[in-house]
Amino acid sequence: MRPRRARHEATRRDLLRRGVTMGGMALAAAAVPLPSTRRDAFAKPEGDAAILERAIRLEQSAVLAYESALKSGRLDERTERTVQLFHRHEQEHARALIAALEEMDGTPPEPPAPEQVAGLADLRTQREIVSFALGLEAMAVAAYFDALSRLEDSKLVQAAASIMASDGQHLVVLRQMLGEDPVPSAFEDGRE
Amino acid sequence: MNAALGLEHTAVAAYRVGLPLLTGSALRAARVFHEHEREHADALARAIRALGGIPNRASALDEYTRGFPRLRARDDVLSFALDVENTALAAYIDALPQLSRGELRQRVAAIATAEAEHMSVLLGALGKPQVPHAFVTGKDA
Repeated sequence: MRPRRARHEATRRDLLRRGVTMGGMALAAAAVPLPSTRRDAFAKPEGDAAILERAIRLEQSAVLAYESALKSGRLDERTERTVQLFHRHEQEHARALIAALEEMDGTPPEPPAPEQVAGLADLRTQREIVSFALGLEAMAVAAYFDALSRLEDSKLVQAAASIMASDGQHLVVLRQMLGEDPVPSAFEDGRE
Repeated sequence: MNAALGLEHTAVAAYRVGLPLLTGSALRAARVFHEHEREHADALARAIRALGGIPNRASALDEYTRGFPRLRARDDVLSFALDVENTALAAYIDALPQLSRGELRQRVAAIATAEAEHMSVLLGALGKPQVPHAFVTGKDA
């Protein structure tokens, strides 16, 4: 399964050294849909750049959602630390995706306004905030899963998988916070 | 694909050998992960057959254990499991661009993400940060 490992290894090391890691996903709406609409969130965009644009939009929305959670004053200390970490991770994902899109001469989308993230303004308790984050992360995993069947660039494929895996780890922590089974399926596609 | 299947067979063996040394929540998690690795192995074997190949069969348990580190206590098992999961994840990330069929690529990515999730639980059980990196490549546990 790894006959060309050395070549891919070098590629990834190069990317990471430059701080450039890329990913892709397909998300239909300009505004971020509710997590409950994640099954309908996928479009069939043409080409890697279109996939990247949608990925950036979703990552930017996750950044906004975590920012909003941090400003809410409703998180206990432990949850706040976790949200800070995930906020940083989503920022890293967004930055990397933007860098990748710009390398393709694309223009990254503007970050969404809070009112464009459906449901964000309605969160009242820590549990609701964590549940909402869980939905967003699951939607991201599902979107990367969807995108992986269509991405063409090898580096983008690997980067999308590495972000998908990271978001999967976020899911574990959020599920544990909610008292849920941390790994409910042997195949994580964001749809469990 | 057969190399990946070999890693899954190794993971099944690692959990099987480690289970008797675990108790409580670590045992419950390891039992689930053991079953997941078996499901991964079955899925890969089916995929190999669908591609016209012959899936490698698992070796006898003692053939695996000869290559394993000595497992004496809970943390030995969890650390070794983490190592095995990490190795599998790195192999999947490496292999993904070589898979031309979208459906197979998705299946492998779903397995790799499940391995990352296993790692997160194992890291937590070992008292370590559960999500140490924004990009999970299998290079760091």
